[in-house]
Amino acid sequence: MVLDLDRELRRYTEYLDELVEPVSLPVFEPHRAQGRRARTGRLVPAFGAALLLILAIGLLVVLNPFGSDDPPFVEEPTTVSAPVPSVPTTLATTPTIEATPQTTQAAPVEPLPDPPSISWTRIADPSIFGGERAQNINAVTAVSDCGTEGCGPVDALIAVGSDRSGADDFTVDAAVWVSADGLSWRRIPHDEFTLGGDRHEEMRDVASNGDRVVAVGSVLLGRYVDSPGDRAAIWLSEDSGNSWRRVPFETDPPVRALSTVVPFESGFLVGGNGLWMSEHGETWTPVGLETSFGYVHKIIPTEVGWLALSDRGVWMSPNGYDWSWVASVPELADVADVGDGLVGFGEIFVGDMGSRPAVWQSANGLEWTVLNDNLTGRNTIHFHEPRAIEPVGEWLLAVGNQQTRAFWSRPRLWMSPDDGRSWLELDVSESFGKLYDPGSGVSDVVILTDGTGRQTIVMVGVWGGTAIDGTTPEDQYDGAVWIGTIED
Amino acid sequence: MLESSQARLESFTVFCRDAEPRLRHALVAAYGPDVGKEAAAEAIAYGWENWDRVRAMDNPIGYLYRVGRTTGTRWLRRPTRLPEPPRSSDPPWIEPALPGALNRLSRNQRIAVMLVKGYGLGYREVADLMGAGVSTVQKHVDRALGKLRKELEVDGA
Repeated sequence: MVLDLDRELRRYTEYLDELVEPVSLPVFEPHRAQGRRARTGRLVPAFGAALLLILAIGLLVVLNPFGSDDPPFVEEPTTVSAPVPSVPTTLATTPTIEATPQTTQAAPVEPLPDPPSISWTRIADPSIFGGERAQNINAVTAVSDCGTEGCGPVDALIAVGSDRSGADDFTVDAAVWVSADGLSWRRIPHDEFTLGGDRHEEMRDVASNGDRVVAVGSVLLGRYVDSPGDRAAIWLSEDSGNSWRRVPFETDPPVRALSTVVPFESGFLVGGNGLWMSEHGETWTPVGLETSFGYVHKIIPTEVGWLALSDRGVWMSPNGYDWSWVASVPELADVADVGDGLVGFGEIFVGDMGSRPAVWQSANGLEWTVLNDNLTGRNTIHFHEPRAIEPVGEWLLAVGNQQTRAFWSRPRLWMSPDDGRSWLELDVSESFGKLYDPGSGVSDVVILTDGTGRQTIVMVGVWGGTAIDGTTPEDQYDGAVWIGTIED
Repeated sequence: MLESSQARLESFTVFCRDAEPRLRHALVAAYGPDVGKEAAAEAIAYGWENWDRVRAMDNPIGYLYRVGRTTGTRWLRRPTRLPEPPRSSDPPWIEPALPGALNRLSRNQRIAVMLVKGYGLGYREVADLMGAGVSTVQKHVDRALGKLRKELEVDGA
């Protein structure tokens, strides 16, 4: 065959050039992390940018609203030192949400007590959580003698996630790690049939009922344009996570992914574009009006009933079978039961510029009010990724990730002594990286309580520390576990 | 301050005149037209925001290329798909099997061969962009051409 390869490549790149217009220079506006569509939408031709620049600079010189030459959108690199009390602030820009009631609260007069002293150990062993390509731990659960996290001695910790271990950068396999103590971990041997394949497979959550372990996530069916795309997937283990098999999960219409699983009665309840239950994890039946839920990202058992958090708001059920939509608070990422009510952790969006971590309270799950609209205590705006809120002793622990630059993030931890009314930020820069270090993030948190009542915090996520010292590219994250020991 | 800001914009504009096509071409080669364009826009925006720091670097375009790659990798959860050209003409003016064969190259091989053989960049330029040595780029190009010849059944494979 006579084919001039160089000529074909030139013709093809010319064709691509016709498809892709040049990138225009950005308007004079500090760069903030945004969705890809929003990013492109903010780009204007260079000439317009220059004109706007001159006008904006002139206004800044005249008005000087920031008190300095630099606009305060990006915080200076810093190590958070002492815990910073956080009180609600007035929002600089009207939030996009309208249905959520906003409340403000005066700054606390009394100084807050010192939070418990927590020593953190990061387990980021490259031989377990690392590898040639990026790995990501999405969720962790404890297998204990009574089947519920934190209710007794732990037999095992099971973490699930994904590993780009396939033949190319974009073949992602599901991955499982187990540990007896949280400190030493073992990767379950990769099984190309169950966990891998020529597809994108990812475990997003895991739960144990003491007898069996269920992991949920998604698989990509096919790699090409006309392939069916993502489908929800469920994996089952009957030996504390040491071996796994896929169980059938067929729905009509198809569900693209499942993101949450919790023990329910003697079986499990899973959530995604609907809710499904199973007695033994083998066969699954829909619960409630599955087409109405929106996308459920979290199911939470509480004293006042079952909660399902979705992009449509809060759903409640007295028994796990009958569900009702109760509140338009889609910003909630997690909810903690504090005994005499519920405290929710989420984010309040500030226009399209970013978000602020915020806390809501509810007495009964039906009505939610904002307790604290900005845990950071600063007026700067970033994108935040609220992850979890958990009771730790007499305190509440809220964990999220802050996008610090265009694509870097690091975890931020806050503790509240008074059920979410006031918050102290923990200095965790030693274990989680300084504010401007690239690529670490917490995905899930579990609190373990031993027989003496002593609690340990286990967090899982990703660690970009190896990128910091230049030994790997910035996009080659490793999985990581952080163990927080609460000292007496 | 006004003058320095204008000078800052001018220096960034001059930089972009040369850097934008290379960034865009490389990131489109890496991630396809949609994500590649967005990743290039992200890199340019990041460069503007951090221009004082970026322009002091030894290899600013290489740094912004890494910004774009990191962004592209985060966005892209599927294998890269370069689009197929239209097949209206007879005979086709672009070998129809070429995009698929390019998609099956490793990312670095695809970037290198498209920049060198398609867009006509020099090995040194591509090496600066990718943050690699010239010999590494040459190896990527040679291996990519070898795979393409074999897959497209070009004489000499």
